[in-house]
Order: sequence, then structure tokens, then C-alpha cells
Amino acid sequence: MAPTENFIVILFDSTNHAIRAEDLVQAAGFKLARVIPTPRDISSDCGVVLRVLAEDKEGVLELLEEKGAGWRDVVGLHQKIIDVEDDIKWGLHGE
Amino acid sequence: MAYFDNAATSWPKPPCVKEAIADFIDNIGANPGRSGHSQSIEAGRVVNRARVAVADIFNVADPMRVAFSHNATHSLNTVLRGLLGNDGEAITSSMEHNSVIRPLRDLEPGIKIHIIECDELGRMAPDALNELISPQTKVVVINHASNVNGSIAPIRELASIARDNGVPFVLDAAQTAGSVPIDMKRDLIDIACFTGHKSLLGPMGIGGMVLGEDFDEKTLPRLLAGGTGSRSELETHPDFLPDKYESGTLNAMGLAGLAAGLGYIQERTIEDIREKEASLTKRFLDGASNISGLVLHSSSDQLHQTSVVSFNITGIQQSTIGQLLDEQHGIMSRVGLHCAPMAHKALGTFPGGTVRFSFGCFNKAEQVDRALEALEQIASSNKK
Repeated sequence: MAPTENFIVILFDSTNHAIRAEDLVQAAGFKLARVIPTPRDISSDCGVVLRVLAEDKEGVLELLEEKGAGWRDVVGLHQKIIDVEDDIKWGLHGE
Repeated sequence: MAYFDNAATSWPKPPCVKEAIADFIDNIGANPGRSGHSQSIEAGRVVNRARVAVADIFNVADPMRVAFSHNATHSLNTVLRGLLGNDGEAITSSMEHNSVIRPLRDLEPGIKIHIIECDELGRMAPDALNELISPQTKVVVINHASNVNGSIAPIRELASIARDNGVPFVLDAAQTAGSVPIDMKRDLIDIACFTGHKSLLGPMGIGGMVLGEDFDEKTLPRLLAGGTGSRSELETHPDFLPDKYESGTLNAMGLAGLAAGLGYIQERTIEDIREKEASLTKRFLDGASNISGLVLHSSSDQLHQTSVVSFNITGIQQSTIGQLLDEQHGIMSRVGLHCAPMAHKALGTFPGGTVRFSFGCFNKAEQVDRALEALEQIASSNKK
């Protein structure tokens, strides 16, 4: 059985847009939102994506819409949290 | 010792600028927007901070409308060559720096250049634009403030005429961004070109352009094509902002410094910086007007004057004054034509030029007083 998708990733035209979106989303207080390298099983023209909690999908997309920060696609993602305190240790494809 | 050459580049920089650049080199170092690892993402965050801060200071909501380059000249070339191509007409003023007039001259004879003539203090009547603008006009490009004598152009009036005629209004903000408030929306500016190392207090080698929200970037082709880190599968350059105008690796450590400089300005406020520089300028102009033999080429009208002032001392060459100021008084000035021969023609100071003092937000009133004493001494020694 496929693991539940606890995150979504938002795809952008370029890193500039992804990081701008991260800035907006973090400033708005959405937890665990951050730019991560594009997971291998997701097709994107850009090397990074913005990952946010699945439950925040609607709020985040509304915020980006409001700020005119356009995205290209939204994809579900299951990612295991290894250590909340240290994002660098997050598994990219935690099954 | 006094550094009065802030119009060439500001010095000193706030300490946070050096710290930010060192931090980038020591702890971040990676290429922004190219790789997915955390150091590259962190470099991207540095670039974004600079982009957001520039957008804020120009009052543009979307930071993607800020495209970085090497300096104001680089962006002015992108804009002027892009908007004009090989034909049409451009309108500019006689107070322009070579960063505007040389790219325009490069495009002759395909294009035609009209010049708004300024008076002996660099002032222009906005109505003159009405006389020159026509259906053939492709761009109006104006120096926000003269790097020779500090006169501030009536940009809102000029931009309003350009807007009414459907012509893009381009601002050369090299001398003003960071020390004179600029509001792209209020002032109806379509494109503003800026440099990072003057009043924005960043390092040399970083600048850019800001596209106003009403300007359609589809009407402005890019100057360069190359790697952007985006759409790597395509052999053609992407057309979305800011990547469209940013080819090749950015000066990310320069942007780290620029973001820090902008942070300093935001905290201190442009209004405070403008007030400080205006009070130094007034102090100098008041004192200098009492020195016999000293001829001022800048206006005492504070509303239309930056902290850049030009003068001559009758009977002494500019280069001699500059050398005496430097060697005997430790005062750094700039003498000559300041890359703006056309402006000196307007002021009546061509080809000899002027001595220029440009005060910065870190100069002190005592330094101005010492410079006035030095000039008094130089002027009176000439009479003996």
C-alpha cells in the first residue's frame, strides 16, 4: 500500500520563484515549509521545489495567488521526518 | 581626512556589508539557482533577500520584476538597445551621463536622438518634452539626478507626459537610489536602472533594473542569452522574469553585500539619509558662497538638489585644486568632466570641467568645515 502523502510539493519556473514563495510562506507562519531539491520521481524543469504540509495546501496556494507568485504544478509527496530540528537530515524519499 | 567622492562610489560602507560578504564566502559560497543542495538553496535565499529589498525600496510589489546585472550601465544598455533596436527616436536630457548617451550614440544613425536642453544649473522645463515627443518616440530616458552638479530632474512631470503618449519612461537612478525616495508607481516609471555601490551602500559589480508593474516585459528583448539554471532542457532562453534578463552566474556575494546595505538603509530610513546629506550640502553651499573667487555650479534649492556639488576657483586649474585638496588636506574630490561632457556643456564648464564634492551619509559637518577652510586657503593663495 502506498504511504499517505503528508506533504505537497509546489513546482515553479525557476529557483528564484521557489525561494520567493518559500519566503512568503514561511513569513505567513506555515510550519515545515521549505525549499528542497526536486525529488527524482517528480518531473520539473527546476532543481528545487517548495514543500509544505498537505494540510496547508489550500492556505498556501491562496497566499501565493494573492501575492502573484505563480506556480506550475502541485504534486503530493510522502516524506518521512527524520529530525524536525535539523532540516538537512530530512529524507528526500522516505518510504 | 575626508572622502567626498560618494557619487563615484560610496565609502565607507556600513560594517554589516563587509560581514555579509564575508559570511557568504565563508559559510554559503555556492552558486544560487543552479543546484539543489542546501548551500545552493541558501545562496538563492541571499539573492532573494536582495531582490525583495530592491523591490521594496522602489515600491514594486513583485520582486521578480527586479533583474540583476553588473551595474546601471549594463542595465541601461539592455533597456536602450532592447527598446530601440535599429530605428525610432529617443528623447533624453543634456544632463545625461555617458552610460545613457553612449549607448544611444551607438545606435545612430538608425535612431534619432532628441535632447531636452537644461539651463546653467542643470534644470529643465518638463514642457520641453511635449515639443519633442512624437509617434516615432520609442523611449524617454532621464538621469534622475546629475552626477556632475546634483540637480534633480522633474521626473514625475516628465513621466506623466511620456505615459500620456504611450512611451516607456526609463529612469537612470544611479545617483539617487538609496538617497532620494523613488516610487515606481507614484512617479509613473516604467523601468529604473540602478547600481548597487553608490547610495545603496553595497559593493561594486552589482546593479540591475526594476520593471514597473504597468510595463509589459514582452516589449523589451533581452541583451544576453545563456545559463539560468531554469528550463535546462531547452536550448532557447526562458522568457519569464527575472531569468529572461539574468544570464550566467550572478554576483551572489555582491548581492549579499547589497542586501546588507539595503537593510541598513531600511533601518535608518531614506528620509534620514536625505536629511543628513542635505544638511551637509547646505552647510557647504552656504560656506562656499562666501569664498571669494569660488564659483558654484549647483543650486541651493534643496528640493531639487542631491549631495553632489560642483565648483571652480577662478584662475586655478581643476586638477591643481584636486591635488592640493588631496595632498595638503586629505580631501578626496573628483575633478574634470565626470563622464558627462554633455552636462558640462549645459553648465558652461566644458572642456575644463569642475571640482566635485559628493557627500555621503557618513560624512560629518566638521569635515565640510575643514574643506571650506582648505578652499578658502587655496583661493586666497592664488590672489597673492
